[in-house]
Amino acid sequence: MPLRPSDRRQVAARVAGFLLLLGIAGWPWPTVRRAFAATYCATAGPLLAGTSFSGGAGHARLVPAPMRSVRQPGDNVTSDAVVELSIDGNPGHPRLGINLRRDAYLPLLILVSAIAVAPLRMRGKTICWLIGVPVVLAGSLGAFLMLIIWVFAGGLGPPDALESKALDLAVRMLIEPPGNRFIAPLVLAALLVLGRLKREHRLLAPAPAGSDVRVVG
Amino acid sequence: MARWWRGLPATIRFVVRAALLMAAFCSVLYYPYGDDSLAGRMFSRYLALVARISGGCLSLFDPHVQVAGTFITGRHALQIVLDCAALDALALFAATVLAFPAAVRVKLIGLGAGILIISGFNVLRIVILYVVGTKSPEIFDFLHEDVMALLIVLVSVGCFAIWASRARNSSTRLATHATSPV
Repeated sequence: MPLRPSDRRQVAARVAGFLLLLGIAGWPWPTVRRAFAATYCATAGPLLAGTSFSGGAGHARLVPAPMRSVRQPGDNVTSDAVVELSIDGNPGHPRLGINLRRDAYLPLLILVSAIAVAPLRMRGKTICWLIGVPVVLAGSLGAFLMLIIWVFAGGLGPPDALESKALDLAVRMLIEPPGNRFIAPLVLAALLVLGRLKREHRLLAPAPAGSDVRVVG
Repeated sequence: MARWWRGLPATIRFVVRAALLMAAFCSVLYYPYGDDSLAGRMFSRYLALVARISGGCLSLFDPHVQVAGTFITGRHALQIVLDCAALDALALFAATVLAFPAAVRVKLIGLGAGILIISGFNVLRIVILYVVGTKSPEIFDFLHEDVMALLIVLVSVGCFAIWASRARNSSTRLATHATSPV
């Protein structure tokens, strides 16, 4: 059924609200970027430090770094944290600059904003946030883990250095496309909101005559 | 198996179909092809085409702009690489349109129009990045990594949302027409 003008206005208002939230909270405020990087590293850092790679010989440490809004020579992205890699018996400590703002903060913001403007009651939104936020954070950490495993497996070396083609393809399919880090939270938010909407509509539907159904959702 | 699949809610079936198509497109687009392979050469030509079109647009208001292969040079130098070609946004759009339950003709029209719009936006993105690179290089990386990468995904999602609502309307009209008394 075509959307009525009032519905169209409502959809436009929700899209505008979503963009406004992204514009305000996504603005590169240095304080917010620094605070997010510090909090993320304090939370995810110990998890990463407790994981070993390359058959137990490889280790990785996630630490906040001086924020750079301009890309450094040799870096792929501007960075606000670094992953410091080490291998037992090897004195070198290669460092990978990573952009936590792009890889974790913005995906989180997209999810939170999309749920915030959804036509759900506050309880429904809270449930969506409680499920979605940990999933996005776990997803970003999973992406870093995959990247580290790929680097230890020789991903930064010449094309023939990497033995696992499946790992190489997975990294190139999931991590390399820049849009994926924004597509995934949008899809997750859409699924959570649709699921919740169905539930709310079911609960609000008029009960059959004579039945004793109470709305509790 | 087919019965179980048909028993799933339509939304879940759509998401699963779209995710599988997206994975297939990404594996084809981002596979590490050798430079001499046919696919590698085709991608290089596509990137050079994007560079040529973007350079052509830029040269309308900057006579210094020159294009060589995938490089745009002038007052600011840009190289068009795979990540800058909007392939992820195009893959997302194609996957969602193909997974959506609609007539083949409607899908083909949607695909053509959407690919044109997203590719056009990508050229506009490159033009904006070039201009920002010359005027305000300090915000170039922010615009390149955060804003434009997100905007092109939103354009792709927006194109799909508009197409899907029109495709649903047209199928509703067809259904109404088919069931109305003659």
